[in-house]
Amino acid sequence: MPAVHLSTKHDPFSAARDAVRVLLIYVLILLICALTVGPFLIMISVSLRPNFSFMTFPISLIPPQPGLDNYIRLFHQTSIGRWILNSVFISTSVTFLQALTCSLAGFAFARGSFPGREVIFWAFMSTLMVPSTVTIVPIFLILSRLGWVDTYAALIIPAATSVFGTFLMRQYFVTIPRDYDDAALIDGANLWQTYYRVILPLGKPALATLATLTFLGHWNDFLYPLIVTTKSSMRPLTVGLATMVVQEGGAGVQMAGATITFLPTFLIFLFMQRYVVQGIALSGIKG
Amino acid sequence: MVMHGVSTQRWHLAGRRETAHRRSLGYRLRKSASWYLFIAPNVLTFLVFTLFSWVFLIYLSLHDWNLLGAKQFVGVQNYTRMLSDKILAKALANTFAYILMFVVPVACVSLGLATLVNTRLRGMYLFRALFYLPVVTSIAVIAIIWRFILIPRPDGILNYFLRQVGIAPKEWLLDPHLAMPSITMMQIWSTMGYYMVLWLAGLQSVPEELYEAARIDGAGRWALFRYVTVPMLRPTTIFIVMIATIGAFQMFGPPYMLTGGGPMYATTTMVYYIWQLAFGRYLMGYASASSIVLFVLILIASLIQRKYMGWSESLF
Repeated sequence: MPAVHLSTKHDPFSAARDAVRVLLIYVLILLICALTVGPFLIMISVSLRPNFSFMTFPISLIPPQPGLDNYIRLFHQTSIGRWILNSVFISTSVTFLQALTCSLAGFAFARGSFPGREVIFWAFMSTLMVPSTVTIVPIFLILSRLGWVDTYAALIIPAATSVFGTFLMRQYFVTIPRDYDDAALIDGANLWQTYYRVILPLGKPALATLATLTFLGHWNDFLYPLIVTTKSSMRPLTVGLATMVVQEGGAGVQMAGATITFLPTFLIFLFMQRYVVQGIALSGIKG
Repeated sequence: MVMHGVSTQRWHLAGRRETAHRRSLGYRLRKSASWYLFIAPNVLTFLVFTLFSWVFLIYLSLHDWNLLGAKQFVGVQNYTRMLSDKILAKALANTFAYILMFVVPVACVSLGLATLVNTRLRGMYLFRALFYLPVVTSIAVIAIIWRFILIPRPDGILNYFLRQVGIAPKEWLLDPHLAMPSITMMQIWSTMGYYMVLWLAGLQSVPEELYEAARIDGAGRWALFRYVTVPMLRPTTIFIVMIATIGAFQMFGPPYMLTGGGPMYATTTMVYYIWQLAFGRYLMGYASASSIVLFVLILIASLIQRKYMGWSESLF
């Protein structure tokens, strides 16, 4: 229901009923908040306990003697530094490449008139019907034939373009009035200049949405990097975290790794929330 | 478009010859060269990593190949082999069981959330963001947290809370009957914020006048929900049920991280089994054939969606 329909009549019973209703909604929401945020608090709490052991159950949420020992152990026992660099490099490259290729192609599909435009567009769209999990076997074999297994190429190049992103950009560019391009053309701009000077600046909101979803999606990606990497040194954070062997500190060290992996996505979400939610609501497809 | 001025100029110079020239495909292709450059990266990755991978998938599914020897053509043997594969049957059953346990509950829970945060009260933006938090978190992180919450000790976190309300401790991921429900619980928790956002978009698209009209007719809160909101949300409902189903078909991370497909294959899903076949046992042909079966199942789900909605709506 769209709104709490606060009573306008001067009816004390109705007003009291509304107050109770509002209170109930808040109680319910705070309860759900505890369920949603609680597990993350547990993660941070355990990561800050220097000497966590299962003997300490049931545990309190606030560590009695907080310390960063688990984080130090994590950096000593695993290649987490390398994984962080890998994740940053892969996610950033993919985001930049997709912003470029998707906006270029989106521009072509929104404005261009060239033979085969419709056929190519619908061929692209049809790929959305085939989930990427279905083709993990041939993709791995193609990459291993190219000699790309355990290289950044495997982790970046196949993700350098995106049908979803192209569609997102096209949908946005279509809403930009053609008068802008026409004005640029009359001023003597060519297509590249029109794209770079006119369409791209006007398309910033869509680009921000695409970049945010792409970065988050690739930072969090799991199955694909698991398959195309075998060496620990080539793995992104998520896969490194999932496959790491901890000699000492167990749960505490794992929670420290989880916290480190979670933190960037949390910060990006915090600042780019509007774009994430917009993208999801507009497209209905997870980035 | 950019060539417009130029071509008009040529038109005057070349006269009728240009008319014929203009219509020819060659001319139009040359004129469109820039556009083709713009879509070239997409076309290239589409050809290599999408189209070729589909053809290769079908080709592989008709062959026997363990990566070391030569590929051997075996016809439909990979497909007939499935009929007697008990683990595959188990994986299919597990996947469908998961879909049954996951889809409708997550749709209902997220609709409840959306209805709650759609009220115009203070702080709703913050709550929406908090409910969305697990969605932007990697499955690797979520699984590590939940492995901890589900520790099968009597004083483990979930068991501890359940004991407060008088429920006996459970073994969660170690219990063949509870392993998949535990994973389902985690999955509902981690994805409900995503569906909440989709529901919110649907809820906010219901015209306020409809509620006004119904209120004038004396409808109460429940009647408004039942006779205005629910029918108006029909397209959203179908959409959410279908994406949740398609996503559920592809569940892999949780069994990989939490159970290794066990105990006693209780959490071996289709994708997990395919992954094991290909990367654990190097049965590339058989894994490909199983992937095609998975694809056909997902396709059937998508076609059902298309039957209830228009083509364009079904995609987005």
